[in-house]
Amino acid sequence: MDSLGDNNIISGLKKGDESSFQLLIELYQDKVYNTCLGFVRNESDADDLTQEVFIEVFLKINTFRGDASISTWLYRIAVNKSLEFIRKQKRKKRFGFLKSLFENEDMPDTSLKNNNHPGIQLEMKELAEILFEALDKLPVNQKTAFTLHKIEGLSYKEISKVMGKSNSSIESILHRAKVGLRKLLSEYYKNV
Amino acid sequence: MKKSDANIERRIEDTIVALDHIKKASPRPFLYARIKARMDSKKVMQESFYISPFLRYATICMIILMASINLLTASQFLGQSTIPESINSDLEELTKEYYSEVITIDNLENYLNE
Repeated sequence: MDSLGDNNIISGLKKGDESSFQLLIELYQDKVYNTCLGFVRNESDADDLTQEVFIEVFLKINTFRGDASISTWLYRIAVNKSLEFIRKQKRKKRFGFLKSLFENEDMPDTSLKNNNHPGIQLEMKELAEILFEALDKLPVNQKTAFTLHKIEGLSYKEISKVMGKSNSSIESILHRAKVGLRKLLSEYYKNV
Repeated sequence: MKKSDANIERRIEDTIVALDHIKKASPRPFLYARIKARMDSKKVMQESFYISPFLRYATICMIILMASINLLTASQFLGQSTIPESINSDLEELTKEYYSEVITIDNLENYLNE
């Protein structure tokens, strides 16, 4: 989508034009959905998050200054929503565990339904599961950069815009992510 | 390098590239319709009012201010007696000055005879 088209959509959205909103969804739904899916790895949760991303765009369009492109803004919201969702799930899991200890009940299933990414080839499922588990143990910024690069296929420049960091710092974050993953995978395979 | 180390290294390489050929997925159909339905059910327009940071903070400040004023007024009323201390002492002094004797039933007769 060219910037002229984006500008028309933004000005339409600011006027409350529904057809602009519909066009925005049609153009960017796959990008937003795949970004969310890369983090939560569950179709239903990713679908919910995609809806939330677009609702937030609709509500906050007047705060969009236009410093970045609409696609960068959408990626940013999608990443934040996904990370927030994962944090909430982890909190629920911890709370459920404590509750089950005190009330002698079975622990509710609030775990992230990981590794149910529909885009992974069948023969790669097992390896992808191991990689996702290692990825979840990395610091948030490393996980974010790695997910955007590997799953969404964004360039370093695009990732730097989404994460609000310089190109060189993204290179460094991705390098550290790869080193961290190698270390975690090496430990995993030594113990298998 | 031992054979097992080489094996681990190979497995790590295989795992790291597991996501290289990941296929793009698409959300369920009619996403726009589902978003619209969700927005209508949640009354998004109302939400946007509450979400607005300025309005949210202004409302909180207003509530705190009103509560403080109420508290202050209430504490002033509760702290003072029905007749203030200063008025009480003034009355006593006036009584002493103009009525040196206290008229009781016993000395009422004497008082009238005078």
